[in-house]
Amino acid sequence: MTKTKEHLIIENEELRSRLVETEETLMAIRNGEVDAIMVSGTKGEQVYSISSAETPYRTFIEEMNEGAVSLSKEGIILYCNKRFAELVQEPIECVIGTYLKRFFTLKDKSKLDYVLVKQAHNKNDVLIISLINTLYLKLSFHLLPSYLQGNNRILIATDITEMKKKENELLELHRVLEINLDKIQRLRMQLIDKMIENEVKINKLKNTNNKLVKEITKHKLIEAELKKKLNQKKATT
Amino acid sequence: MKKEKIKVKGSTEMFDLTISDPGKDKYILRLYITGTTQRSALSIINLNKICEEYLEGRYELEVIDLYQKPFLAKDEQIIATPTLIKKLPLPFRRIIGDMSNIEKVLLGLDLKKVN
Repeated sequence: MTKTKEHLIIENEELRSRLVETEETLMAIRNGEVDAIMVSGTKGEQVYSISSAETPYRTFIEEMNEGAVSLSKEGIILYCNKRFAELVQEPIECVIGTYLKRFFTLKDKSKLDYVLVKQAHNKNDVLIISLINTLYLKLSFHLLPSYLQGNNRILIATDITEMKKKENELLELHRVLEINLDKIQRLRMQLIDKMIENEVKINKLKNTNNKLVKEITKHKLIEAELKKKLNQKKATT
Repeated sequence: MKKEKIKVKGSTEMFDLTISDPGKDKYILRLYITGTTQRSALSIINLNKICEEYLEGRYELEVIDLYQKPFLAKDEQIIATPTLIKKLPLPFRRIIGDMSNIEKVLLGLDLKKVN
């Protein structure tokens, strides 16, 4: 049935007024003039509160000095805070929605697979990984309960680059120390060898000296005997 | 941009509606979310799957957390989240929801024609 012009005009007016109403509702929401919205769901009408009680917790996460990430079971970053974006040196909007392991060095990429696949049911895990931008991070994973976004994880990222640098410095010092210790031990052994050698020489000398002393004593006795005999001979002649 | 229809029979009939050559145009997408809410997380996971399947290698996706950058809501007149904005290729489109309705998202992205 074709509509008459009159019908169309009435319909147009009705549509216009519905559009205005809808636009006004949207504007009210947009301008923050409402603090709750009624939504129809499977459980009937529900109230969606706009001002939420979780705001302080969210602010805490947003402002904390450690990186906070929410991760899907596939390893996609579903949320990250400002600090994490700073750690990986990219704007937040380019970090969320991408794979976490793209920031890892090649040798550490498999570590994440291990946590996400092989340790999928582990509630907590800790990884030390190196980033392609040369930072070192300690990642503490926590599995969210299944009623909360099933199998997603949250992780806290701590920058341990300074600690890792210190550890590497200490390891280097330890290595040098071990080399020096080895040198000292070798010198000590050489010294002991030398001392033993000297001791042997001294003993040899002492023995020779004793022999000489004995020989001299013997000779002196013979000499005295001979002198005595000579004197007796002189006396008889 | 040349567009053709692929003739496919049977259960894959919906591919009939797919624009076979939606161009080599790069897609510039922007997804607005609010923190770690369930719908925000779902929208990222679902959109990632769609992009990897239909736009592999030719899309740029920015995910904006309006809790952390509320000032960015004004530019695109965002009223609810999650909202996906197709900035390019034109026409500009707005898709609201957790992106679980793949048909709706593909229509919004002009990757399928309306029946």
